[in-house]
Amino acid sequence: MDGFTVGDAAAHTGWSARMLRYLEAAGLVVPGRSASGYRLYGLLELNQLQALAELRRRFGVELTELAFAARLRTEPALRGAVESWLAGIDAAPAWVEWEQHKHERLLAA
Amino acid sequence: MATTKRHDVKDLSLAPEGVRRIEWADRQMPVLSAIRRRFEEEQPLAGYRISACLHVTTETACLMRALKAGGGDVVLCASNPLSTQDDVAAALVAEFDIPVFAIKGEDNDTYYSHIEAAVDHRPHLTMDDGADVIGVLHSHRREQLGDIIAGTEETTTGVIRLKALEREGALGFPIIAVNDALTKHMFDNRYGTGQSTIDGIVRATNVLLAGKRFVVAGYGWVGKGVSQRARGLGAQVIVTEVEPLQALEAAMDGFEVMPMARAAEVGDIFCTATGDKSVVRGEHMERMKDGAILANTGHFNVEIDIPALRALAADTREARQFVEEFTLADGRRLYLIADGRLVNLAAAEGHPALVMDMSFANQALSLEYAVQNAPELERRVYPVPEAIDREIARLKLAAMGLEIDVLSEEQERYLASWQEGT
Repeated sequence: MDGFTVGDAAAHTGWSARMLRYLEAAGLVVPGRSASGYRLYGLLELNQLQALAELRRRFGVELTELAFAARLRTEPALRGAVESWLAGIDAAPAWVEWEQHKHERLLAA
Repeated sequence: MATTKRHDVKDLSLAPEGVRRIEWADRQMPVLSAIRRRFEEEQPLAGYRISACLHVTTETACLMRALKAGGGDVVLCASNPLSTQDDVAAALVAEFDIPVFAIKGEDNDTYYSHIEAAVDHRPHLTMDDGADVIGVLHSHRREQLGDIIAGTEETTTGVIRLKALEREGALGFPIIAVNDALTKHMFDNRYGTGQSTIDGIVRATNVLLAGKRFVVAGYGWVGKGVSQRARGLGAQVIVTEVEPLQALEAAMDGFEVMPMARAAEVGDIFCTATGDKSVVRGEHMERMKDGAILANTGHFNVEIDIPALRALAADTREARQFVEEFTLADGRRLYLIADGRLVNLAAAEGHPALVMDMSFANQALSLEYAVQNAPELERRVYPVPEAIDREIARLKLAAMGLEIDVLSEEQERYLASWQEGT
């Protein structure tokens, strides 16, 4: 199989042609190109598109969210900052409680 | 038992963010930085293996850097599996070449295996925040006890446990109780907890302290700090105590002193700082004014008798984040902050790095002291030597740009002769 054009891929997967171009721009599903420059979706890309549709349906994930998740994988500084911020919002009560139990065990020992 | 891993952290690619935050903390910790620079030149810990078990945070990272700069061969594991900052752990490994065994949220088995990994380092010196490494060494790694010159313990409860071991003659090596240092108490308990306790109460309730009757139970280091800060914000502070000396001090410091039974009737805000249990009881709650606010800044959430409060309440609801409203049978409402947990940690940010600067400076200098005085140290729990306290105060003054007077030779002679003559 040489691959599907944008129109064929859209018909096959249920994504609109406009969404396919958006997904390419966001770096999520990037088709190959024919010699004359047309987008060509191979088996890999078609599977990715179907899996992506399934992911959105199951988890209600927006494409912008998925693009952000992809950024987290390629930008360590961004991931570190996000992790630190998330650690900051959930850390205090949980670790304080653990600390209290630890000291209770110490006193009981 | 031996572990094959050289470190175990969540993700080394988090290191750049950790480095950035460690450098920020370092700028807030001028005393520890000054110690690190001296350690770099003098290498007081060269040739010594150190196993540290502390909260894996930016401030601890600064302490680890100081020990390594002093020639120490350091490994770090977590003293609490939920307080670990994964980016800091990564930075220590990747940037500062300090092995770390800590992953935020690790399960109990991993947590304890990480403490074992720190013990596998075969330390000459230990550092604890809750006696974890000391505990392992005294149970199933006793064959290593003889290698150890000394250890430090950061917490009050840890020290209580170790003093019990000492009394039983079971303490395996000398311990320096860092918690007892004056420069630690002053900054950690009086200024640090004093400020963050008020901060937690205000953040949780948005209450205006001016004009309120603010009851502080306990006039220890924390109680003193809370009382002074509450007064500074315009509150009329009432102190309750069980110790005559502390009560007298509170009275002479200008605070009202009365029993809790009377304070309960007039107080608008209650804050316990005693270290004991059931300080505010049902009999007190029954007499409190409508709208009274209850908070605790002692270690455990037993200072306020919460079961009694629940028993008295006809109805409860969350009034706002961290604040639970208890409506009593006659319609009066009492407000409990953060379920009686440490209000400064639960509803505010705990200690600024500047406070930890003093605690960790004590840790670093205590290890140096232990190495220099190893032959004289017995298997006992020691306070931090006064000389270390004075040195830290001197470094802190220098960091603040403050100068003090120096005794002349004549003055020194006069003081000495006066001391000898009386």
